[in-house]
Amino acid sequence: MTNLINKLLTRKNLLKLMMIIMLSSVLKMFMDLLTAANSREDEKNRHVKIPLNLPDGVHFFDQVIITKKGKTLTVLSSICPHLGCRIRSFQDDRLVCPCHGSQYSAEGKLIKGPSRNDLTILAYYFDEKEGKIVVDTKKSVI
Amino acid sequence: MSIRKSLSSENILNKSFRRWNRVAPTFGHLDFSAFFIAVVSGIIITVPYDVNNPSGSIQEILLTDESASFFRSIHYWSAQFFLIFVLLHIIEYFLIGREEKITAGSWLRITLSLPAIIYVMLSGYILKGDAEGTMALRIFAGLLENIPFIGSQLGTFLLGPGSNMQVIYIHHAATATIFIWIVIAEHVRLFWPRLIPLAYIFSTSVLLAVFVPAPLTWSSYQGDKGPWYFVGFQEILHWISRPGIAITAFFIFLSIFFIIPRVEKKWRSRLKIAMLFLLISYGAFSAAGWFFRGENWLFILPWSR
Ligand code: FES
Repeated sequence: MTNLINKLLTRKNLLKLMMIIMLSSVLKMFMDLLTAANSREDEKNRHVKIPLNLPDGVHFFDQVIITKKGKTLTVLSSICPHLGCRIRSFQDDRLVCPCHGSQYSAEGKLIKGPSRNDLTILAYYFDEKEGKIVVDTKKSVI
Repeated sequence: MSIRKSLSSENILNKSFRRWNRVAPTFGHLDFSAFFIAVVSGIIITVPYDVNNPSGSIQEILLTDESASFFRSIHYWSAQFFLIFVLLHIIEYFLIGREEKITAGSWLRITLSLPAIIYVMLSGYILKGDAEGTMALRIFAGLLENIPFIGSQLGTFLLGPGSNMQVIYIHHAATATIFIWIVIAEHVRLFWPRLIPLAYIFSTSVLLAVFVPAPLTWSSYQGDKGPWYFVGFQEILHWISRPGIAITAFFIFLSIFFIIPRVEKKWRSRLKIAMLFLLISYGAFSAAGWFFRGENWLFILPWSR
C-alpha cells in the first residue's frame, strides 16, 4: 500500500493533479458566468408584446406564431420541436420548418415529420391598457 | 516479393503515394498550410468584424472595405481547403497504414481534434450571423441538447448564452483553434508549415479570393441546408425523427476511428472498409440533399427546378 502511494505521489503526478484542479475551477467559473448570462437572456426575451388588432390569418413574430380565425386566437411557439429551428413560413395551409421540412397545421398540430411533436401552445394575456397581447414564451398551455 | 503481393491494391497505392510525395507535399502538409493561412487571415479579419453585429459588420466589409473583404475570402477558401485536406490526409493515412506508428495518447488527441475541426468550421459559418448562420446555430444547439446528461452544459459551454455569439467567437478564434494547432504541431512535429505547401495553398486561395470572393450568404440555391459538408448530415436529420440517433452514430464513428490502430490487423482492415462505406454513404446523402431538395425540403429533380 505504502509502495503504491509512493509510486503515485511523484512530483509529476502532483503537478498534473494541481493542473486538473486549477483547470476545473476555471471551467466551473466560466460555466457559472455562462449559465447566469443564459438565464438573464432568457428572462429578457421572455415576454413578447403583440398588437391586438391583428387581421385574420397566420402571423409571425420571431419567437411566436399567432393564428387568428375570427374570435379564436392560437398562440404558438415558433420553435420547431425537432431541433429548435424557427418556423417562419406558411404555405398550402401548413407551417413548414425550414431546417428539415417538418409540417404543422395553422393550430400547431403535427402533419409531417421528422418532428414527433406538435408546436407548443403558449400562455398569453391581454394588456387592455397598452392594447397588446402579452405572450409568455417560457410558459406553455397543455 | 511475390508478384501477387506486389500487385496488391495496398501496395500499388502505397507506391503511388510515395511517388506523389516526392514531387508534391503530402495532404498532411497541405492541410497544415491551409490551417495556418486560415488562422492568419482570421486574425486579420477580427479587426473589422464585430461579434455584436455580425452580419451588419460583414455587409459593411463587403461594401466598403476591399482589403478586409479579400482577407475574408482567403479565410473562407483556406478553411475549405483545410477541411478537404484533412479528409484526404486521413484516407491517405489509412491506405498506407501509418496509424499504427502513432502512440495511443497522440491518437486520442487526433481523434478529439476531429469534433474540434467540425466545431471551428461550423462556428465560422454561424459567425456570419445571417439567417443561415442562425439556423445552423439552432440545429447545433438542438443536437447538443440531445446528448444525454451533459448535453445542455456542453451546449452552454460551446455555444454560449442564447443568441449572443461572444462565446462561439472566443472558441472559434482561440480555444478550438489553439487546440487544433497543438494537435497538428504534435502530429507533424513542426510548429510552422513548410514553405512549398504554404505557397501552393496561399496562391490558390488568393486566386480564388480574387475570382470567387466569398459572399455573405450562399443561400439562393442551397435553401436552408447549411454549408456543403453539413448537407449530408441535414439530409440524415430529415429522415430520422430522433436526432439522438445521429449523435450516437457520430460517437460510434469517433470510437471506431480511435480504436483502429489498436486492433488486430484483420479487424483493422474491416473497420477501415466500414469507415469507407460510411464516408461513401455520407457522400450519397450529401448529393441527395444538394441536388434533389428544393424549397421546404421537397424532393425535386434538378432538371425540373
Ligand atoms: S428543426 Fe424543424 S424539422 Fe428539424
